[in-house]
Amino acid sequence: MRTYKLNILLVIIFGFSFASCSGFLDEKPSKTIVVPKSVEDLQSILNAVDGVNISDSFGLILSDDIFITDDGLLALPDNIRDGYLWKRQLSDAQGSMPTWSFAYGNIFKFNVVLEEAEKITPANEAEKSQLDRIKGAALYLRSQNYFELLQIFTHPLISQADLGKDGVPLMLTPDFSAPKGKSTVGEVYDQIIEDLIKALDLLPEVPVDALRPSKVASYGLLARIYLQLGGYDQALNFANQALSIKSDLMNLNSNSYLSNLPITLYTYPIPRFNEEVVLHILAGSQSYMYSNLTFVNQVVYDSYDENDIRKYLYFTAPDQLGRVNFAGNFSGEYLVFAGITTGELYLIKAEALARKEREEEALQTLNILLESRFYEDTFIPYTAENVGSVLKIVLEERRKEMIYRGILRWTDMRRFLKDQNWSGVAPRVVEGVTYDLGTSPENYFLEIPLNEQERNEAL
Amino acid sequence: MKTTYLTILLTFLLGAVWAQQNQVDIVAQVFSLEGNTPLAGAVIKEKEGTKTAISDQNGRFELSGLVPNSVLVVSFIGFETVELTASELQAMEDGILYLQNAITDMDQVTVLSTGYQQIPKERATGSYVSVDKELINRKVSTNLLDRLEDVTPSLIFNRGNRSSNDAISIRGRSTLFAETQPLIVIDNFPYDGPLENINPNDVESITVLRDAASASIWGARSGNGVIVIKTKSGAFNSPMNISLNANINITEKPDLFARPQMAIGDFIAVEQQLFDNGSYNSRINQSARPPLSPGVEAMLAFREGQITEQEKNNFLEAYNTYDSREQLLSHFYRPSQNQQYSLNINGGSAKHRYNISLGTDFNLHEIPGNQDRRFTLNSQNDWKLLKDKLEIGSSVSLVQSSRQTGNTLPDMGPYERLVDESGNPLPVIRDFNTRYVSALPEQGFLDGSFVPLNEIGLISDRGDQLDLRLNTTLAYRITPWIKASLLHQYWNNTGETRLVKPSDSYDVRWLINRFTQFDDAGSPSYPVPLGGTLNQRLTKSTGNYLRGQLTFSPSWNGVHQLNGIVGGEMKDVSTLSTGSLFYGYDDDFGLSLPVDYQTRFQINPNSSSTIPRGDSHSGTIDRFISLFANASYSYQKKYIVSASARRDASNLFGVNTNMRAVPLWSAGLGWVLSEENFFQSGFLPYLKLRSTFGYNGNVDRSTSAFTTANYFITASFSQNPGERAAVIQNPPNPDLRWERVKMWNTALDFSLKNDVVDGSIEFYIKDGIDLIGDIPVAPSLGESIFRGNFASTQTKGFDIALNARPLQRAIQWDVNFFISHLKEEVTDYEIQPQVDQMVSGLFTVPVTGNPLFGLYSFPWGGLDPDTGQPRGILDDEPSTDYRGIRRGTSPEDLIFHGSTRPTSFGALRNTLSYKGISLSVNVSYRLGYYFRRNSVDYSALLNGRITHADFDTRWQNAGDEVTTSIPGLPADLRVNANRQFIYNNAEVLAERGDHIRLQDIRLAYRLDRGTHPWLPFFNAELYSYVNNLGIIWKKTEHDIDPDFQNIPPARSIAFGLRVNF
Repeated sequence: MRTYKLNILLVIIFGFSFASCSGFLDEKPSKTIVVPKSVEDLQSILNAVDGVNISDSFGLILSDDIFITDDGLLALPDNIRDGYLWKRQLSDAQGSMPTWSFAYGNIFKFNVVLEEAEKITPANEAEKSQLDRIKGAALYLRSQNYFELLQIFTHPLISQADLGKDGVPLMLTPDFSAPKGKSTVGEVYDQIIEDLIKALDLLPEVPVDALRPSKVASYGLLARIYLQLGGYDQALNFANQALSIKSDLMNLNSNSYLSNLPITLYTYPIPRFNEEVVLHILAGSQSYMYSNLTFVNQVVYDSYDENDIRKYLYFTAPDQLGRVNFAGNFSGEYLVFAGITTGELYLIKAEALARKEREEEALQTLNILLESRFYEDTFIPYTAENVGSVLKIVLEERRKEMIYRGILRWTDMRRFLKDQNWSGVAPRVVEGVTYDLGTSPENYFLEIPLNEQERNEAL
Repeated sequence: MKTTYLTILLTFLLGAVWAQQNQVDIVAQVFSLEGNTPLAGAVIKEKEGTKTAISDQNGRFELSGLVPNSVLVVSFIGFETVELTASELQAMEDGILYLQNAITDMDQVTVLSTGYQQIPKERATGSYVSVDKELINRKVSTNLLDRLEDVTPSLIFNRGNRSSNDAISIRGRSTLFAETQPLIVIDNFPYDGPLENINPNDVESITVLRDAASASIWGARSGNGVIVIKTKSGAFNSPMNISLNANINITEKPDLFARPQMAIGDFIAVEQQLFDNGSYNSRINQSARPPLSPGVEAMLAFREGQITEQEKNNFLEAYNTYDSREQLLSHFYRPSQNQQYSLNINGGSAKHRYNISLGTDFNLHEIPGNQDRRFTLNSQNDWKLLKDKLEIGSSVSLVQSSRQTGNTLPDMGPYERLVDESGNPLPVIRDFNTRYVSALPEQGFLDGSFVPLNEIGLISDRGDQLDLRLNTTLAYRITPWIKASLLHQYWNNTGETRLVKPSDSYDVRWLINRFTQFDDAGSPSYPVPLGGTLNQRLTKSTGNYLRGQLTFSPSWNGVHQLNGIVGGEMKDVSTLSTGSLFYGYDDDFGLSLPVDYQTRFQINPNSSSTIPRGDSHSGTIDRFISLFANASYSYQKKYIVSASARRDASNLFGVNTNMRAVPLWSAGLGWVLSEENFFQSGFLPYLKLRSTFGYNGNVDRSTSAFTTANYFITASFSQNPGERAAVIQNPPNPDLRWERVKMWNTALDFSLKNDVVDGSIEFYIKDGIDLIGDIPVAPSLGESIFRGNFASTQTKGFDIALNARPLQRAIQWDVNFFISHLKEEVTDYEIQPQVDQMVSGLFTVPVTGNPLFGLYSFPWGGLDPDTGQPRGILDDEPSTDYRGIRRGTSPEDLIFHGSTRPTSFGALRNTLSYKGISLSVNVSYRLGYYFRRNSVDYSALLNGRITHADFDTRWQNAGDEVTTSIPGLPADLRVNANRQFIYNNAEVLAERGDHIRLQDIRLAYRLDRGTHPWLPFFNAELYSYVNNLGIIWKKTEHDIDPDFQNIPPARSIAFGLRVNF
């Protein structure tokens, strides 16, 4: 009897703890947390656009788009200051650098998305097309990040041999167990182009909205990349493909722009998601970009025609010393726009044509863009007669249209090293000391961040 | 459901009547004569035989098969031993045997509660601190935990940087990023609600579990120590006891002048200098219309020709006579007032005992209009059935609390005023400059002025909470030495906060103005509609806790005694909360209006935004399944061996099932030397050595074994507001384990002849292993740091507690002293610390070889004799290359002063009693630590904010550097953040924190029926308690409180009355 009672009690006491072990402990501890697996999970990762639709934040400080006063520089972080002084090894106590770590952080996300997307069997046609868009977007964004990593950390492409130079580690799966060594520049470019071509099949012609990659954006990025590679035929082809789908231009002559003039500090007249935006990507935010002590390169500002609306719309009214801050972000706010616009597509097309010495077509293309940039009835179209070098004009116009677009000017500075008559950019003078970037390709890329060098044995 | 609770509640409240039965067996209870309380762990032994019994927590014991005239010896440490025959015992009225205190002292009888079992102190091997009712009631406070401060060895209330999420530490901190707070257990189960809900008047005793042997029974949540709270219960066979307690506690207004501040005249002079050199120009014209001080506005008005120089000077002279601190003290603050009332009724018959407590607290805060209330009800009933073999217990605890904290302290410039000369409320500058604000109405906006005194009472921020705990216990004695019990707790906590801002409150006017749009005709429209806002948050937590346990306590041959428990438990706590925000809300009619969350509006005066959303939802589930066992064996009461083991499994997200569980164990030895024949010391009648070793666990819920993502809705400032998005939380970590704390504890308990002095000395070594920490990894993997089980810490220390009774005559003098000393060290951490983070003190920066919280400084190079500017050290030379110093200083170059947390602390409490009057004075001390003194901040000053009074003694002329280390005002009046950073964190501002504080004084007068037979009550105590009396010694020469540099805790005085009927 006693044993019997004891047994019953023992069963009561321990029964529950064993019986319910399996299901009971599988409940997730928080509603919001998830192990990403479903189409919706993957879509949601890409929906976090404030972290995902982000471009490099260092190209602008390396470029000659900007001029920072000595006081302004004092307030900036050391690595930004080093970047401004064109040091190849940026100082930082942790040896880290945002362009590198942020890009690879995002690449990890895209790799998670791509790997999980492969495991999903779509239930129906709608889900399949959503899954395709997700894969296409992840491929597009991963390519953009790799392209920008190459622009900051690898030797510029002067000759074919440069394709064999050290690239960056090519992470294509979300493997966290061991870091990888460097692929060559050429291997990385091959991967980028292969992925973008693949993305063309997966993405819709026109974007769902300005924040989602599309075929137009892929053509645009391919055109941008081929311009860097010196593949002007392909650049022209892809720019044409993109423009055949989307070629809208803003009408700057409308009251909604002109009523804002003159522009005061911290007002941004160009609306975000405007008709020219192919893909809305922002440069990683750094305080130097919107400091009131960061000014626009005076030479560029002075090059605008008096009748060019951009002269008044892109910049704040000049201060006592004639200096202007940038206000023309296509983001409609202080964040620097670094995405693709139809304006860029026109300029790529014009440049490719000019470089292929199809000068008449080049100027025609350029005139379409400029017509929309000038006050009504003031623009005198370029003709072969009234210009000297067509390429020079195209590049000057590119400079004026594409100023303050994140990494873009830096990529131009790198590719112009191939051009015979390129003499480099003006030296910088900081606290009385002159810093000259020169035209040696060795000065045109940064060392891989110290923390990567220390921790990645495969490098 | 609600009706069910109500019925249960009523049943328990009214259940004080129960039929009685006569007894057959010898079942009796041992009580203390003085306290009329049951004694657990009293030993009842046959003098000429082998039968032994030990009284349980109700003082109850059972002996069967006794010869009627056999002599029983009843003994309990600290009490006079009684001998009587079995028949005498059986014949006793109520079956209660009273033992008399050997010495009249309350601390002597100690039953330790682990939340699983009651252990008499002499049979314990582990490290416990017991805080009894007397000590809990010594202080006057609304909160229970406050009562532990300065009376509990090993337990410290952390102050200073980084202490906000780390309020209490027991024997240091053995974790970096995981849970830091001790586990709180109330009546057998962990309490997951807010601790403010516990009424100190309901508490019978508190036991703090400090080492592996005592705490490891709590497994994965015991790493930070455990605080076990036992609430009051009735006693079998005791008459009804009614006690009443009422007190009022009044706290002074805060001392706003404790923080030294530069003279207002000097400040205005600096503003004038800044204005003259154009420092304000950009702010004057900025499109965001940032606020400017009244002085700068006057200077501007003069410059613009709107006022004459004389008028400007009149303004500035007037400002010089104002002080916002005086204004706040006389027109805003009030002394805070706390009232507390409690009623307790308990008692019991042979088969039933009960306890009912009612309590109410009402607190008026120092900010007018803000207050809180708490109502508590506790009811506990226990019945004995089936020949006393079955015990049923049931208790209800209900807490209803509410707070109203809608009024907030205005942030004022140093010479702003709340009222003018004739007492009319004045506006105070807040978000925009006065020119912008005053122009708002004529531009078609709502009034944008902020008048703090008119705001009082407008905003209602009300929080209500209902907390219910239902406990049911079933215990069945299968054999005389095996008891099976089943315990269940249901917990439910519902909370609601309602923040109502009416349309005339400043916040709402500001928000409506921000979004107001004008059409071409200039007529306004309101995307944020006219009307108030309602911000509501509902939270509901539900918990079920179930435990099955076997308790066995066989003894044989009179020399062997085994005590053990084995059981299993499960816990399931879920919390759901929902927040919502309504616009255009009218509280009178309960109406609100829809708004457009999608459109991005141009907002005033600049920028653009969508209307902020206030919707939030969250839900968490916390589940545990655990198995535990604990046993102790004692031989001849001389030798004690103990062991415990526990296995926990939880729903820790994404961990493989086999990795979720963590086995934790402990073992201990005890040796009562004074029981040995060779040890015969009249001087030292009691001496016990004990030592334990084992593992405790700690939980970190922020990491996971799999790649996890967290869902959220994108914010209103996002590029795609209001969309569902997910962010990857952590990369995969299949090796994830729980944190463990390995602990050695060795102690000596002793008492001297006649208990003149007793005490304990404990040494311990605590090793935090497998701690969650970060390691650096190659950023190309996707993260540059990786969180996992990578860190370890070590804490070594000792705790000494001494109780002395130098005088025990008409005048009684009791001295209680304790000191806790500890040395903490991070023993393994791979992330290279960053100099900036090390010196700033704002981050938790583990540095291998140093305590987790250390004070680091830049070496000081003195003031520059030419400019009076601070100098650091660069390349072994004094330098003003501030950027270079920040960049060039490595962690090794920094000066490490020591810990910022006391390495020794304790208290000395003296109590004098004479004929019912008692005076108790507690002096607390904290030693062996450092803090950083505040000083002049030119970055603040040159941005137009007032700074420290060190400004008065700053460097002004060459040569001053000999007498002062306070930098001069920079000649160029330009902010240099690096310069300020170096000075703020320079060696010269590091100070020793060591100090002794006269913490409190309690004076009480006690009337007893024993001495005054005419009294209508049993006894009564009239008491007064004064707290925060101030510092009596400190190491630093500066006139500051090392622990409270800004506003020291205000003095308070309380009066109260406690009556027992």
